[in-house]
Amino acid sequence: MPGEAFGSPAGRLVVDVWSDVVCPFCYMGDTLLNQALEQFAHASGVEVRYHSFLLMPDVAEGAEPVNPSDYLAAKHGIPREQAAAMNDQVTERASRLGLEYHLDRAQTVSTRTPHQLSHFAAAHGKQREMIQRLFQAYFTEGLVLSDHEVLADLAAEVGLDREAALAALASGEFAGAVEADLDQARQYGINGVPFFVFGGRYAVSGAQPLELFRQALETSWNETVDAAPAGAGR
Amino acid sequence: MTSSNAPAPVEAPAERPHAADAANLPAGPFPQATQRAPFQLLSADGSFGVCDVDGVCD
Repeated sequence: MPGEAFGSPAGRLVVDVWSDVVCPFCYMGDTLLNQALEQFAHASGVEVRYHSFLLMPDVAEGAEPVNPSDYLAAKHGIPREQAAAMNDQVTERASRLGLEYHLDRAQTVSTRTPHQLSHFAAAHGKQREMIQRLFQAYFTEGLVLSDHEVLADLAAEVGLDREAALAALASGEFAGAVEADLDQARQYGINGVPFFVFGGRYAVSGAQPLELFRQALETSWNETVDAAPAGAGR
Repeated sequence: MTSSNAPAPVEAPAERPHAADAANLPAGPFPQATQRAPFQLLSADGSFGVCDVDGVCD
């Protein structure tokens, strides 16, 4: 449920993830989590839930897209070349995980709308696929993630109903879910992403090494699923 | 949105276990990760990889 975290159904481990679709390390962190899950014996018993976070809350809804290097240069008063060079470092780091970033053509917008699409996808059992498609759309393809038509196309690509997605975005049906997630992040003092919580007990902040994700899965599974009385939920 | 040497933005726990200790953590109750959150923050040496609300990624 939006804005609700840490409830784990019996026999399953829930991983709650706060992230933003324009956050470079969130895409990397999600990739590392996926790699850890591929190596985890109980992966079929793990549920990953994504929660909304605004990396750039000062970017207004409806504002024209801006390149991330331009945004960074303007916000921090540094030369654009310096900002671009720093983004190149991020791009190189992503490439080590097999990710293809093209931040030179990325178009930064407010992410409230794609977060609404994430919640729409969650309601239809496709949130992970949707989040991963949104990451690729922003970092690799340079798509504008505030455009409802673009988002509806992406929703259709992951198997969601295009017209239903458009209607949900137009009505703002999931705007409250996004706000609930943001409120919960503030409540927990989360001010950087990605932020992962395993079984409501262990947190990993950032795109940490793969081994840490593996350990977090093993430890939280052992303590929240294996240790639970048969038939008991949390 | 990019990297810098800015300090990590997430509030530090009272005591951060080393990654190598994660698998050997005792059964609960656990130290609080922050003063407000009921979870323990795991960390590791080396890369950190967090983006904060200023758009800075470290």
